[in-house]
Amino acid sequence: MDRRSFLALTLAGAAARPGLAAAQAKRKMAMIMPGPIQDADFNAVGYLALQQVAKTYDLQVSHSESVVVADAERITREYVTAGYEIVANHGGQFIPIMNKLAPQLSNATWIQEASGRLPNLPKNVWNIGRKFHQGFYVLGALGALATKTDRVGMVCGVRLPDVITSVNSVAQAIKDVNGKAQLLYNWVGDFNDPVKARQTAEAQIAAGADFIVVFVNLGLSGVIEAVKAAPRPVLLTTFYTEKWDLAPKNLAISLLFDFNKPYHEIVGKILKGERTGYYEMRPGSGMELSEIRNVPPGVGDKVRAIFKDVVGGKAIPEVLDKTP
Amino acid sequence: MSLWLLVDPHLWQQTLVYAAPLIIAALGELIIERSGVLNIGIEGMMLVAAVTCFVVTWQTRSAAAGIVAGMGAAAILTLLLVYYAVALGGPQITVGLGLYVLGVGLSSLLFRVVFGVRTSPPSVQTLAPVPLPGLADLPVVGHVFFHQTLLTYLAFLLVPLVHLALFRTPWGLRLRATGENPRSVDALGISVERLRYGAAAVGGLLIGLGGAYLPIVLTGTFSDNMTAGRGWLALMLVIFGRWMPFTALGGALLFAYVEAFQFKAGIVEKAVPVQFLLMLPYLFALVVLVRIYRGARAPQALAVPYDREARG
Amino acid sequence: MAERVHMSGIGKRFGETVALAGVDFTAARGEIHGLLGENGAGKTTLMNVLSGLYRADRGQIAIDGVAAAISAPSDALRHGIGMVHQHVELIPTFSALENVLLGREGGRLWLRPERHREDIEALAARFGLALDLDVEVRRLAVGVQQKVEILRSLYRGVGILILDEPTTMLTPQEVDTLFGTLRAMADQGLTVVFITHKIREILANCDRVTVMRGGLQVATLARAEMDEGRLIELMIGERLQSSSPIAQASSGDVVLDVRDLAVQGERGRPVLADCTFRVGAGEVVGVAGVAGNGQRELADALAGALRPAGGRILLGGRDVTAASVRTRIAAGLVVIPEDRIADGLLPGLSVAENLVLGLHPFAFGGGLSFDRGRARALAREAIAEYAIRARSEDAMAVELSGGNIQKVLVARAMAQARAVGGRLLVATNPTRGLDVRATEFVRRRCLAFAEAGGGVLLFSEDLDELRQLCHRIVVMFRGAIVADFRRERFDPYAIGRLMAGAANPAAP
Repeated sequence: MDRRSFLALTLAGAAARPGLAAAQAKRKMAMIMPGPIQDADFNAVGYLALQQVAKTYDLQVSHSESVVVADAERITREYVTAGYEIVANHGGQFIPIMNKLAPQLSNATWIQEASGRLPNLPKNVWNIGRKFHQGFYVLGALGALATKTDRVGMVCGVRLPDVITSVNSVAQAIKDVNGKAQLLYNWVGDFNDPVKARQTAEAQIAAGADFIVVFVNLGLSGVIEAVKAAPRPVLLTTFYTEKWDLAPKNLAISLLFDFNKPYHEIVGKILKGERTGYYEMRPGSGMELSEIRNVPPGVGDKVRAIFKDVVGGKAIPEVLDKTP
Repeated sequence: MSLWLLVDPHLWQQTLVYAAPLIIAALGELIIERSGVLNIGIEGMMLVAAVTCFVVTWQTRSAAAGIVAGMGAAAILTLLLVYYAVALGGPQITVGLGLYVLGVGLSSLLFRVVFGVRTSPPSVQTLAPVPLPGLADLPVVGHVFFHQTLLTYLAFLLVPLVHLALFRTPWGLRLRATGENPRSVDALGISVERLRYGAAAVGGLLIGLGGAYLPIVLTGTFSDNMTAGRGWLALMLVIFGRWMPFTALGGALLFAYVEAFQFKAGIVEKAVPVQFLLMLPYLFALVVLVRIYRGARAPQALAVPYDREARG
Repeated sequence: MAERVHMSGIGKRFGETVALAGVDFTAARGEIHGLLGENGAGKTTLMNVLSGLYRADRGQIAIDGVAAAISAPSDALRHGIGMVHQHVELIPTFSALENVLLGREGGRLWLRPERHREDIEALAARFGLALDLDVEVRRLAVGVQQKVEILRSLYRGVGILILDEPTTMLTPQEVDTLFGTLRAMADQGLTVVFITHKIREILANCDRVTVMRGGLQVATLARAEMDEGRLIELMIGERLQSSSPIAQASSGDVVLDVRDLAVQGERGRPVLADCTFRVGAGEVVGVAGVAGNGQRELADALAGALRPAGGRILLGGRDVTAASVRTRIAAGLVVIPEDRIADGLLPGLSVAENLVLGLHPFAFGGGLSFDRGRARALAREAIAEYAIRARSEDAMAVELSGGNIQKVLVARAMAQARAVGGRLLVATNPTRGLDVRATEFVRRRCLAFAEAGGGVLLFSEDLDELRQLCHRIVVMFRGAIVADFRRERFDPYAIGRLMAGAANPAAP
C-alpha cells in the first residue's frame, strides 16, 4: 500500500469516529441460543424476550442461534471483545462455557439459564433456575388422569439434566395419581428432528400410549403427524407457547413459559449495577398453564388443583441420578 | 425384551415408510453414478427439494405442485454438478461438497426468508395413506403393505422400473457403458455428454422426490437440516447395493428396519445406553457393508472426467 | 484399385509438440495397407484424425472422392470408418454380444439382444471371427477381445477398418488368425489399414505400406518394392545391422541357479511356484510369457526386492536367497529394471548421481566419503560412450527422453559390472518404447555382457526379440517354468502354445 492511500485511510478512520461515538451510547446485550429462532418454541421465546428488553431499556442487542457448545466459547469471546456487556445463555448446555469465561472476562455480566441454583456461581453471573420438572409433574398428572389405555408416553429430546428430572417427575405424577398407568418413554437424541420424533411417537402409540408428554422443540411437528395418523385418538402436551392451531383436536395443554418477566427484572438490575443473583422460574413464577382442552370432564379441574398445590410449594422430588 | 418384537407388523410398516425416501434418493444417485459421475451433494439437494416442496405446497395448497417443484429444484442442482463435471471437467467431489454446503444454507435461508420468526410454525397437510382396494383388507400384510401413501408405493415401484430402464433398454445399455468406458462409447459416435446430462436430470428428479418425501409425507413442516444425514446414507446405499437397484433396496430396508426397531426397543430396554441404540442402524449398515463389499465393482469411469483428446 | 481414402496436408499439434506436419495418405479398396514408423512418428495420431477422435488443425480428407468433414467419431462412422485401438476399448463387464450391439440396438424401447444374435453370428462366420457371444468380455483372451472389436466395427458396416498395433498382445497363432481375417475382409472389398512398427508384419501381409517419420509421410511402397533394409532406412533415415548372438563359447560355469523358487502373492495365493532353471556363463536366456504369469515376481525376487516363500537362488555359487541387495551387487548382480522411471531412477537427482547409484560403495572409496569429482568424471565418460543426449552430467535425470534414460540405466549397469565384476544381468523389457537406434544399442550391450563371460536373463514380451538375441528361451506360465528351448529348436508356435498354457509335449 502506498503512502498516499495509507494517509487517506487513516483520515477517513478518524473522521468516522464521531459517528461511532454516537452509536456507542447504547449499552449492548447478546443472547446465545442452541436452536433456530423460527422454531416457534424455546428459541423463539428467548428471541422475543431479547427484543422486548431491547425496547424497554434501549439496548443494542444481537443474537447467535443454532450454536453448538463447541462454538459457544468463541462466539462469547467475540461478543465481549466487541463491547457487549451482558451475555445471556439461553440454554443449560452452555454452563461449562460460562464457568470458564465469566471469571476471565470480568467486565461482562452473564445471565445463565439452568435447572436450579448453580454451585460456585461467579460474581458476575445471574442464575435463572427453571424448574422444568415441577411443571412437567402437572403435565404427567394430566396424562395419568386422561389416559384410557393406562399408558402415557413421553418423547424426550436430549439427555440433559432438565429432561432427566422431568422424566422422573412425570413418572412420579403417574404413580401419585393413577397407580395402574405405565410410563413409556424414549430419547430421540435431538430436540429438533421431526422425523425421528415422529418415529419415536409412533413406536409409543403402537405400544399402547394414548397420551404423550412432549419434551422436544421442532420435533413436535413429527409427534403431531404420528398422532394424526394413529389408529385411536391420542392426546399430547406441548410447552413454551400455545400452539392450538397445530392440532386442535389432539393438543390437551401447553405449559407456558414467560421469559419476558425474568429477563426484564434481571437486565434492569444489571444495568443498575447488581451483577449477580438467582431467579427461579417455576409454576406460578414464569410458568403457567394454558387452557385444558379435549380431556374428559372434571379432569381439567383436578389438574388445576394439582397445579395450585405445586405453586403453593408441594415438594416434587428432583431426581437426576437415574431414570425410570 | 421379547423376540416377537422382531416380527411385529407395525415394525414392518414403519420400515417401509422410512425406507422409501432413502431408496428414492439412492436410485437417483445410482443412475447418476452409473453414467460415471459422482454426486456427493445429495444431502444438500434433498434439503433444497424439501424446502421448495414445503414452500410451494404452503403457497399453492397443492401437494402435487410442491412435489414437482421440489423435484425440479434438486434437478437444477444436479445438472449444475454435471455441467461442472462434463463441460468443465472439474473435480466432482469438490463441487459436490460445495453443493452440499450450498444446499444446507440455501434451504435454511429460503425457509427463513419466506416465513420469518413466528410463534406458531407453518405446516401443511401431509399425504394421506391410500389403501389399495381389496388388498388392504388382507390380514396382517394388508395393513403393512397396502395401506401406504402414494409416494410410498411409488418408491417401491421405482425399483423395478429403474432396474428395467438400466438393464433392458438401449438407453440403459449406453448409460452403463458410459460409466465403464466412455472412450468406447464415444468411438461409437454416441454422445457421452448427452447421456450424462440425461442421467443427471433423471437422477436429480429422483433425489428431489426423496427430499420432498420428508415434509410432504412425514412431518408436514420444514426444519433446518431435516434430512439428518439421509443424503449421505443414500450415497452409501448405492455402494452397499453394488450399483444395482434391488440390492440398494435391500440396504434401505435393512437400515430402516433397524432404525424402527431401535425406537421400539428403546421403550422397553433401559439397560442399553440410548446413544448406542441411536448408533445401532449405522453400525449395522457398516458391518454388513464390510462383509458384502467383496467383489463389488464401481463403474470403472466413475468420477473421471472424459476428455476425448487426452493421450494414453 | 480405386482410392477410397485420400488425406492431404494433415497437420496437428498438441501444445508445443507438432505431431503431424502436413501428411498425405491414401488407401484403396480391397487392400491391406500398412502404416509403418517409429514410436512418435505420428501414425496413431494420423489415424485418430481419420477416425474422428482427434480434429486436425489443417488439411482435407476425402472418402470415395467426396470431401468429408470428420470432427467426431460419429462423423467417421457415417463415412464407414472404424478403428480398433491398441488397447481394447470394450466395456469389460458387458458380454461380447452387448459390446457389439452398443450403439446399434435397433431403435426400439426395449433391448432384445436375441433379435440381433443371428445376424451377428452370420457376420462373424463370414469373416472367420466365430466366438462365444455371451461371455463377459473381460474373461476373454486378448486375441478374442480383438475379434469382438473387429466384429463391432463390421456390424456397423464399416468400409474402412483401421487397426492400431494389433499384434502387441497376441501369441503367434493369434497373429496368424488375425491376418487371415484381415485378408478375408480385404478380399471382400474392405480397406484395411494397420499401424505397426514391426517390419516383419508389413513384409508378410501388406499390399502397400506408407512409412512415416517425424510427423511426415516419407514414402509409400508397393509390395514389390519392399524389403527389410529399405524399410528400416526409410523409418530411421539410415541403414542399420541388427545384432544376433555369437555362437556360445560355453564355459560350462553356472552363473545363476534357481531351484524351486516360490513367491506368495496377495491373499496367500502362490504367484511363483516350483520355479527352476539355470543360466550359464556367456549365455543369454530369454523368458517368454504373457504378462502377469510371474515374470515380475521372479525379476523382483532375483533383484532382492521380494522375499521368496521357498526355494533357493544361487548366484555364482553363493546363496543369495535372503541376501541384501548390496550383497547381491557385490556377488555380481546387475539389473535393468522394467519401469525406468519408477524403479530405475531418482528423477530429482542429476544424471551423474543416477549413474553412480548402487555403484558408489564399490567404486568411490566406500565408507563415509564420496568422491564427487570422480563420479562426475565417470558420468561424463558414460555420456560420451553411450551418446546420451543430455545438457550435461548435472542435468536433472527427469529431463531426459525415454531412450536416453534407458541408456543411463544401461551405462550404470555396465559400470557396475566393470567395477564389481558382473556375473548376471537381469533385464526386463529393456527395449520397450525405444526407437530403433536405441533398441539396437541396448541389445548390443546386453550381448556384449554375455560375450564378456557373464550370464544374461532377459525378460521380454517381444518374442521376436527373444528369438533374435537368445541362446535359450524358457517359457513361464502361471508362475512356473514350463519349457526350455535351445536356439536350434526355437519354434514360435510351440512357444506360443506353451505361453497360452498348453501342456508341454516335449520335455525340456
